[in-house]
Amino acid sequence: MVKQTIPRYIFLSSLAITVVIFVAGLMLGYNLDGLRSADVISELELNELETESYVVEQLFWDSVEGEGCGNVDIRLSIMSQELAELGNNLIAYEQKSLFADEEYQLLARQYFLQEIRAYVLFNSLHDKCNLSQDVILFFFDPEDSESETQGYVLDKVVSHANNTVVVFSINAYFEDNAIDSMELYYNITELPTLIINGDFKQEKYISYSEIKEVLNATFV
Amino acid sequence: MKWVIWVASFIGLYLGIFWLHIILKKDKIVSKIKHFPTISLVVPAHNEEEGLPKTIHSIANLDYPKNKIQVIIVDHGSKDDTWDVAKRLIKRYKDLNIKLVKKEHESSHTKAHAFNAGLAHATGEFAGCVDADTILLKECLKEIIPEFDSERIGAVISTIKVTKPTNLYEKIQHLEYIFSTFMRTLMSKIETLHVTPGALSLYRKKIFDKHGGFDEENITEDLEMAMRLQSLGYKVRIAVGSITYTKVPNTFKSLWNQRVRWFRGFIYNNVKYKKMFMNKEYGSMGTFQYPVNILTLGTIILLVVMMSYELIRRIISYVERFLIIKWEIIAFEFPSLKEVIFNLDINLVFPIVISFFIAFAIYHLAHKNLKEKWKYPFALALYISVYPLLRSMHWITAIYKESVRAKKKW
Repeated sequence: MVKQTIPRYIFLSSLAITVVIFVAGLMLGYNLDGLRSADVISELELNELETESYVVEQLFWDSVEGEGCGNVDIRLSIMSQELAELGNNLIAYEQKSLFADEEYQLLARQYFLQEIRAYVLFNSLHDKCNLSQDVILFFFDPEDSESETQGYVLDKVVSHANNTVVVFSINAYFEDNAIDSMELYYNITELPTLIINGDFKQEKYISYSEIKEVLNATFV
Repeated sequence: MKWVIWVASFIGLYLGIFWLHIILKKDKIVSKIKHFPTISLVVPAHNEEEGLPKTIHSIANLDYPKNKIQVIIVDHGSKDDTWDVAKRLIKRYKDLNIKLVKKEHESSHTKAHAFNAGLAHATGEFAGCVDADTILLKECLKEIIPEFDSERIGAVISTIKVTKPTNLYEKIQHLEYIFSTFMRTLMSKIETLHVTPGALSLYRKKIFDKHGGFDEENITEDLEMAMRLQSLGYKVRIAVGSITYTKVPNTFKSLWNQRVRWFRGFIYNNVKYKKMFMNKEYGSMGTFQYPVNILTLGTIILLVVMMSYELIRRIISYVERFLIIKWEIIAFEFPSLKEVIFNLDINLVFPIVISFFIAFAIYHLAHKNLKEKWKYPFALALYISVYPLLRSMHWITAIYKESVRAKKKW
C-alpha cells in the first residue's frame, strides 16, 4: 500500500479557512438582505403615507369647498410610477435574496395591497375629478414569458404616453383575498390580462400598436 | 440555482486554499548530482526537418557527459527531409552517440509507436522522450537526475516554457504553462503528479523493460504512462530547475484540436485507471487527486451548463425586449451608490471576488515559482476572463466525442 502523503491538518485547516470565508460571505448576504428589505419597507411606508396624505387632503377640500381635486392627475401618476419602481426593486431584491424569501413574500403582499389601494383611489377620483388619464390594471403570471413581454410593452406605453397612462400590476398567482376578489370580479381566466379604464378587457398578449388604439392617451 | 453556485464556490475555494496550503509544505531537500547515469533520449520525429536540428543542438550542448547520453532519432515516416537532416546531424555532432531509426508511419499510428521503436534500441539506465520541437536548456539533465533519489520515483518531468510567444494564442499558453508548472510542482510535493509530458520526461528504463513501453492505442500516451506509474506504486516528480522550451499551437483550430485530444485522453485514461478512484492502496493519488480531478471536471461542466442556460435565457429576454422597446433598451441612468450596493448579487459577486483573489495568489506564486515576470497584460485579461470558457468548450467537446466514441486523431 502506498502511504498517504497529505497531512490531515492540511485538509482540516483548509476546511476551517473555507468555512470562515464562507460564513463571512453568508453574513454579508444576510446583512444585505436586511438592508434591502428595510429599504422596501421604508418605500412602502412612504407610499402608504402619501396615499393617506392624499386621502386626507381630499377630505379637507371636500369639507371646505364641497369638491376639490387640485393636481390629482399628476400626484396619482407619480404615485403609480413610484409603486412600479418599488415593484421592480422588490422583484430584483427577491431574486438576489439569500435568506429572506419569506420576508419578501410578506413585502410582496403588502406591495400588491398598496397597488390595489392606489387603483381603488384612482378609480374613485376618476369620475369625480374628471381625470383624462387611462388606467390599466395588469394581471400577470411572474413565471410566464408572455406576461413578461406584456410588461415591456406597458413600460413603453407609459414612457411614450407622457404621464397620461397609469398602470397597476397584480401578480395573479399571489395568494391574497383582495387579489382573489379582483380576479373574481373581472373574471380573470387567462394571463396576461389587461383591464383598461375599468371596462375594456384584453385577454392574452396585446402589442404596442394595438394597445395604442384602445387608449385615449396621446403618444409622443 | 444559487445554491449550486454556492456549493461549487465552496468546493473551488476549498481546493484553492488547499493548494495554497501545500505551498507551505516543506520541500524535500534534493542534493546536487553526484554521479552521471547513462541516459537514452528518444526523439520521435514526423516531418520535423525544421525543429530537429535545434533539438539535437540543445542536447549536444547539455551540461552532462556526452559519453553518458544516447540519442535515438526515430524518423516516423516523414515525408519531408527529416531523414537526411538527421543524417547530417549525426555527422555534425560526432562526439554525441546518435542512432537513427526508421519507422514506417501508418494512419492509425501515434507518437507512442515511434517512441517504442526508439526505446527498443535504448541502452541507458534512464530513458526519456524528447519532442522534436523542444529545446533543452543546459542544466536540464543535471537537474532531473538528483530527483531520482528513491526507487519509488519512476519518472521526473521538466518545466516546460513556451518558445518565443508572439501571437495571442501563444501568449495565453505561455501563462497557462506557468500556471500548470506550478500546479505540477504542488502535485509533485504530495506525490500525486500524474502527467509526463513529451517535451522532456525521464523514466527508469527498467520500468519499460518490466511493464512495456507507451500504450500505442492511446492518444495521450504520456498521460497514460504517468497514470500507469501511479497505479504501479511509482511516483512522478517535477524538476523545476530543468527547463525546456516547446512550440505550442498558434492558431485557434490547432489549439482546439490539441486540447480536445488532451482532454479526451484525460477522460479515457481516468476511466482506464478507475481502480485507483478512492482506493487507499494508491495513496493520495487514489484518495485525493483522482476524486479531485473528477470533482473539478464535474463542477466545471455543471457551472458551464448553468451559465450557458442563464446566458441564453437573458439573451432571449433581451432580444424580446429590444424588439418591443427598440433603442430605449440602452437608456442608461448612472446608478447611485445605494443602487449599486443593493443590486449586488452576492450569489455571483462573492464567488467571483473570492475566485479572483485565489487566482491572483496562485498566479503570483506560479510566477515566483519559475522566477518569471508578469507580462502580456492583454493575454492575461483574456486568460482570466474568456479562456476558461474556451477551456470548458474543449472539455464539453472532449466529453461528447469520448461518449460517442468519435474517431481518435493524433
